[in-house]
Amino acid sequence: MDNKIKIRNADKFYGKKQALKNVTLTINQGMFGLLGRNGAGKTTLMKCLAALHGIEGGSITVCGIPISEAREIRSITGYLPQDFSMYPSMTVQECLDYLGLLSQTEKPLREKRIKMLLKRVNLYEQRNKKFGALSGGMKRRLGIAQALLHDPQVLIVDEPTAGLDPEERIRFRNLLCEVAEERIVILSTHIVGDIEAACEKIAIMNDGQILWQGTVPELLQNASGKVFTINVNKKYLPLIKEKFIVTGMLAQNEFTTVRIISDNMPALQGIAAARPNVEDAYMYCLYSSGCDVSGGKE
Amino acid sequence: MKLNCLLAVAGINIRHHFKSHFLLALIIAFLTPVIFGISSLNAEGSAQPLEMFLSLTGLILLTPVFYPEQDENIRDLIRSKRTEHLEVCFVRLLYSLLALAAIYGIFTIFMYCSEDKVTFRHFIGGYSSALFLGALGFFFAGVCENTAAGYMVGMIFYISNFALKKELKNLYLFSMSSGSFHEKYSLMSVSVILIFFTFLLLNFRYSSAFSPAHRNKNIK
Amino acid sequence: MLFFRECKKVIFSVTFVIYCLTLFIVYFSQFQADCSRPLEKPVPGLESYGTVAVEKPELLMPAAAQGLVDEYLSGIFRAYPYGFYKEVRLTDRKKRKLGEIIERITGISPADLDSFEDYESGGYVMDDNGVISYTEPNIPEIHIPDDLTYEEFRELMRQADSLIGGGSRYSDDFIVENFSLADKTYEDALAEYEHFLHDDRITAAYARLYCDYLGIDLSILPVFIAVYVSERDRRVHMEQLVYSRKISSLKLIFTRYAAMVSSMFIPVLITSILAFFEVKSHYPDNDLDSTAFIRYALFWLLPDIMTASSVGMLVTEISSGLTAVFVQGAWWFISTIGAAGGLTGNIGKLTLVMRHNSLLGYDVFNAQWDNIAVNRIFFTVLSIAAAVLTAVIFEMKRRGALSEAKLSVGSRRH
Repeated sequence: MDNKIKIRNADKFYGKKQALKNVTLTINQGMFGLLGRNGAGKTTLMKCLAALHGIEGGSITVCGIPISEAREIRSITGYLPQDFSMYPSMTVQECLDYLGLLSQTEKPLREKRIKMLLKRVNLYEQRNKKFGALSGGMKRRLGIAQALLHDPQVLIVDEPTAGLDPEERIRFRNLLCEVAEERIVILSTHIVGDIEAACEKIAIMNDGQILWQGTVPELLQNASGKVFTINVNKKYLPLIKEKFIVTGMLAQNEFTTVRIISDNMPALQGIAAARPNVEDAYMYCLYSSGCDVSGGKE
Repeated sequence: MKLNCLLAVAGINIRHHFKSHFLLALIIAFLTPVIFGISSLNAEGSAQPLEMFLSLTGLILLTPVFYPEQDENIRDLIRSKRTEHLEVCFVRLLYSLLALAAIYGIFTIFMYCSEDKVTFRHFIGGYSSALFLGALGFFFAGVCENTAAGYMVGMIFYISNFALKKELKNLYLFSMSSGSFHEKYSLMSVSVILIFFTFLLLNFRYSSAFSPAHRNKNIK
Repeated sequence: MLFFRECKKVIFSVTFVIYCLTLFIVYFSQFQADCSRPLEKPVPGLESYGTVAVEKPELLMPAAAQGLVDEYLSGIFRAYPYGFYKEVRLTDRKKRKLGEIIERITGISPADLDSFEDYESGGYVMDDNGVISYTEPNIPEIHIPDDLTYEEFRELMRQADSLIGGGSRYSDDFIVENFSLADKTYEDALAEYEHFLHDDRITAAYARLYCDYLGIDLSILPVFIAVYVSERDRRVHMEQLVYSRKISSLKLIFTRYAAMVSSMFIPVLITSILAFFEVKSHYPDNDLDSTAFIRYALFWLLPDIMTASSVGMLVTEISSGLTAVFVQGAWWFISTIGAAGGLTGNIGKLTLVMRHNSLLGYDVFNAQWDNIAVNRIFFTVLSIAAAVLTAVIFEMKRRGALSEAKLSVGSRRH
């Protein structure tokens, strides 16, 4: 069976606003990261992959099935929306049971998998707690459990780590990595650290378009020789910010170490080339594609 | 979907989303004999409680069919499952219609036992009025994706029946109380059309480009 | 600014569109339709100037006794116990008791009544040409015993009313307007017209009519908008965002409340201006009170909007939007359809929906002025208190003292 997601020239409109512009992308097994600002079109693309939205132009196939076959798509994909929410009066166990029922998983198998997943996401003790009483992290873990309930070939998770504390975020990423060993996992995020830690391949989206796609080392390679650090007096900071793309600042007394992006090494005193990190590389990618990044990153 | 699956879905939905509304409808049903006399009524008198008050149970039971998924995120989640969301809504509509019929059936029998001149016509006539109010609420709640709007339109229509008998013509809810039954046919058919169109419209909306996420984006 | 953002949220909602449409429909179909014919000055020498309810024992006692005998013989008693028409039939035991009451007030024994064969019911009938005529019932002749005082008579009528189950024509609420109607004289009619022209300066009378029509809808429709706005935050998951903002709960809730009420007042303002010009067009040469509509709208309708909105916000915050709709719906129902007050007058201190469906009745309205003032102030204060309570609960939720689950479990236990 075709174990790939193929997106070819996909267009999507909300009224007059074009949310996806000629998107072409191939996603293989493993963990795939979709990086972009808020409103870049990540959520739209993911909803299209989960057959929640149709597209107006182009084609999308998930494991060989076109997304117009919504029912087929939904039986092989698991979807975790950006804000995972469920009926507040249901308990954890009831939520999973109902969602499993809607996925048309047979009862014995359903029960077995619910028990297994609850243990795996560390919610077994909380299984009789009402959804409305769960913390943000617990909800997210329940969300991943429900997405895996029918053992999908494709897992689509939208901004899964937003709003989690650092410890929870790491645990959650690790869980996703385990899951990705046997299926396609697509993860969207605007948090660069998530991508760095977990994804083999990534795509950067902006304004409905795919700006760049490849591996993390390739992204870093792109930005090599374009990132510099400089130690400046605080009073020059506004000037630096005006002239360059600043990706990081570290204040020490009246001096600040600033990371900047530039195509050529600027003729400034004390400037030094630096090894780009993923954040720099991402900013460079946006910058080199002509996006307005002068307002700083989000 | 298999029948046992459907029944399981219905059971869970009744337990989590239907109970409170049904309870409220029951309260209305129990209040009816207090507000109206329901012993030894003639044919027109018997129609009054059925049309003018018990009909509100239709609005109460049918309007909130879409309510559990009014939250965009819950709806997306439910829609991402293999079972069509509208199938679940249809199941909810079915048991709501049955519950409404049960309320009307039991109430009509109760009136019959109180020596009222009620017939099967009264049951059908009263049920059509309730169904129409409910279908109106159902339609607006579904199309506007806003249950409050559904209740609002249903309630406005109900109120207008006290003042606009002539203007409402064939959609007059309380016709049987003044001895006319033919309005019930239009109420019945318009209700069916409203319900049908709600499903048609939502199905179109879900499967096509126009999607509620658009508005969500704007808000954010 | 937060206020305008909240206004925008209200105005660009489906519920608000439905609200405006309904108000305009009510305005044009009810109020404007009533405006089309200017009130005419009464001319002397007419056969009738209408009737007026005045409590006159010599009028009331024979008429009520006759009515009771009529209904006793027909076996059907008309009543409006909860605002709805109800035909009451009595059990034999109750009928016997009523027979005793009739014997006391008319001297006719139940046996004589039961053996009366030529009974024909009386009442108003409309013939094919639409002409309404009144026929006297054919019942045994009635004489009120001399030793029966008016107080005792009224007490017996109260007993009869409770036998019928309340809300009958013999109840305290209805007996005077049913059985003690005096014909108005030309002078009475002229005096009322003078009030209309000079005291109300025309527009105030129309403003009451306008408020009467709009008040019915304004006591319920705002609840839907309040529910929509309160639930909307939950729907789009702004809650977390809103909750973490550094703005006090009181300020947030009150800004939202103020935005809601002001937005909903806009169409009222527009229709009240329309109404003024509508009235002006029918009375071009008269001295009009140009601020009457605005005054009445602010004083009469604004508290309605405020009350329904704050109930909507409060109950939504405590329980759910649906509960809020039902709470306000039930209140509204009891206050309008279930109200025994009738279409004019009888405005109690706690009546939510005030009615005065007439251009006349300056005296009736002003006689109750104390009640009305207390009533409107009460609802204004009540609504503000409800908004404060909403803010308190909102604050508790914000601090995490109350979670959704706790509230819903709590409300289920009670």
